[in-house]
Amino acid sequence: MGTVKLYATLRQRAGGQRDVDIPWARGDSVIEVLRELLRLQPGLNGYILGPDGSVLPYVSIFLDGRDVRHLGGLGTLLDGGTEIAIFPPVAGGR
Amino acid sequence: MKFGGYADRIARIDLTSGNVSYESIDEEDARKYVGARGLGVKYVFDNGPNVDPLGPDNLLCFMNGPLTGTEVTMSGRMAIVTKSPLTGTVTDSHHGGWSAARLRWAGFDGLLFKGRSEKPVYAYAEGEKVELRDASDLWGKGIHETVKTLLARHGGDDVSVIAIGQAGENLVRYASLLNENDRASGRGGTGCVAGSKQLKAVVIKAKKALPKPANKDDFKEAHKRALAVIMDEATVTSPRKGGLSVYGTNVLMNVTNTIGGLGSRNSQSTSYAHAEEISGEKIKETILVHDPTCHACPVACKKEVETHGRYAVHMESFEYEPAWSLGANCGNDNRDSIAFIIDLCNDYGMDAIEHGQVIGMAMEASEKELIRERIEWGDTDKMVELTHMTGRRQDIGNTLAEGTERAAKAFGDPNIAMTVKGLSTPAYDPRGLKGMGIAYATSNRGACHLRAYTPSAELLGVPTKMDPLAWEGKGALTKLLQDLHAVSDSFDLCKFSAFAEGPEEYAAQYNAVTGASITVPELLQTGERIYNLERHYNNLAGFREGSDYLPKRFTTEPSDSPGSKGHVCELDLMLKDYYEARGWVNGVVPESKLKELEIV
Repeated sequence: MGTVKLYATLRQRAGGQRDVDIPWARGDSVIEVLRELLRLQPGLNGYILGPDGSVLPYVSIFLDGRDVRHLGGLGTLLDGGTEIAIFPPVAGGR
Repeated sequence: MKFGGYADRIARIDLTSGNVSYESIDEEDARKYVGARGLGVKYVFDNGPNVDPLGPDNLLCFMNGPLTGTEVTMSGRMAIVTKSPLTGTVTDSHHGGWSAARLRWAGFDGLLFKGRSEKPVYAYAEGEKVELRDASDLWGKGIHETVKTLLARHGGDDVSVIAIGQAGENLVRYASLLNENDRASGRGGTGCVAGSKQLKAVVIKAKKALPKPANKDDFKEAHKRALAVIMDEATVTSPRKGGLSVYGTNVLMNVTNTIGGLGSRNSQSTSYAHAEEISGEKIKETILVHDPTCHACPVACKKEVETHGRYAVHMESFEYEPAWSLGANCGNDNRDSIAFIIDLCNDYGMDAIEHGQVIGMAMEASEKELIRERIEWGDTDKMVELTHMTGRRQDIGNTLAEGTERAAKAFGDPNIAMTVKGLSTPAYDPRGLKGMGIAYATSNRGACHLRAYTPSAELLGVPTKMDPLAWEGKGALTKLLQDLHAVSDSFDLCKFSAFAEGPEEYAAQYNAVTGASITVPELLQTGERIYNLERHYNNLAGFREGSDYLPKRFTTEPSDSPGSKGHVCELDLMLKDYYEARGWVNGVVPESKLKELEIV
């Protein structure tokens, strides 16, 4: 079992839900968890993954604090991982 | 003046004699340094790098750029440029709102103050004229009361008031100038310089009078193109849909915490367990009441909040930076108290980033028993008390008013000051965002995230996605962003435009408004020239080899948080790449580079 945390506008699209518990097992990958997330929260469809199945530009998916783009992409295995955090485009400065 | 866009009128105000004179902008200076930050730095440079920041000879410039007051989207910024009493470097600090547009509509590109008035005064600008008026009745008053009094005196809906509070009067080294109550030219002590000159406020009265662009058809096209990328629903700037518009700058709190890039307890840790409680998401859910904006901006990133009870306040600047400095950095998850203390800082006129850092440092000093005063992490009442004491320079507040670096030395341990060149680091821990490390170290105004906003690449992916934990490529990225931001600060456009627009959009709008025909490489070289002029000024002011550094904590104490655990900031490796990209010799601009950029 792991937790997917949703932030900013994604949380709004999931009806205000911040944490979504999704069972995952050793050998599962990030994309499998995402598919289950989108099944549970259909309001997120089109806001995380693009039509070609890749992560939308400026959207970030972190596995225990590391952007999966800098790990093994959506195929990254969850071995030992405990938390996935997903952010829509975020930036600021002041 | 062949360039359009400018009012082509600068006022020089001698506060010692009371004389006001007017002059045109030198056309060559406009070509080379544009306006706002760049032109202001040129004026400060020409005034000499060795002036006493708090002496009458220091120059205090309120500057617009050629795009100010036009219909260009996000063009509502004003630059305050001077020599900083906190850092000893040249500094520029920008605020939003409507004062910049009104200054342009009143017929000015800039107001330059020098000297020292015998009695408190304020400057009144209207219809291409500036007058000095007695401010004796306002001296000793906070910014909110000063703004209210001056608005009542001069009318309301076409007036802007930029003022100092008691902190500026009392020469708190990190005192700010505040526009319209809550819009701070926060960093570097601009308000302290105004206080040293007995300049209480600048009042600008002007009705809307949009300057005509030099090329109307080109402008229409350039404006449409820039607006389209800002409005694009896929971007962070998208009005009412993008994260910046919906949650404000504080949309960052959770993401920096997630990656182990959010310093807490004076950066002794790289994350904060209660970050969610002070995040933009939680603010929207609990205390948000309105989303104000600035001139010509559809993004509306300002977040107005209202709290009740013990820390009751109504204010409009619950931003990420002070939410971090007075929150996570001080071990404080009480968002009402954060809003209350930010508002106190705004009323006294103090940089809320530096203030949160000086308190966080004092908390660590207390924890280590370096001082007798007991200042516990998260003690909100004590934080309020220290804010009053600092603004008034009372007791320990007199030491805190000197800023984090000087206060830490006074407490006996300079290593607990998270500062570069005397300016406290902002809300990104460089162990989790390596680009911020090189950006802080090489910033010409001391530790600053806005000289080169590398999280744009490391978090958002603009202009390209980079791993926040990699040091490779960050030297060149920092140079590119420093040059780009130096130009946008000289137009003067909001920094957040860079999340959507690129140098192509900037060049097209600048050319359409001014009638120039600058190319993208020339635009970036203009930014490089401005950045090198600032560095040359600092070199002449005594910042020589070895002046680009980070607090040891970031380079020697590994991160303790998920996302960046075990990492330190590899500054030396990045500095080598950075100096190579810059053509500098260990932080010093060589003569050949000054000639290449037409600085000498």
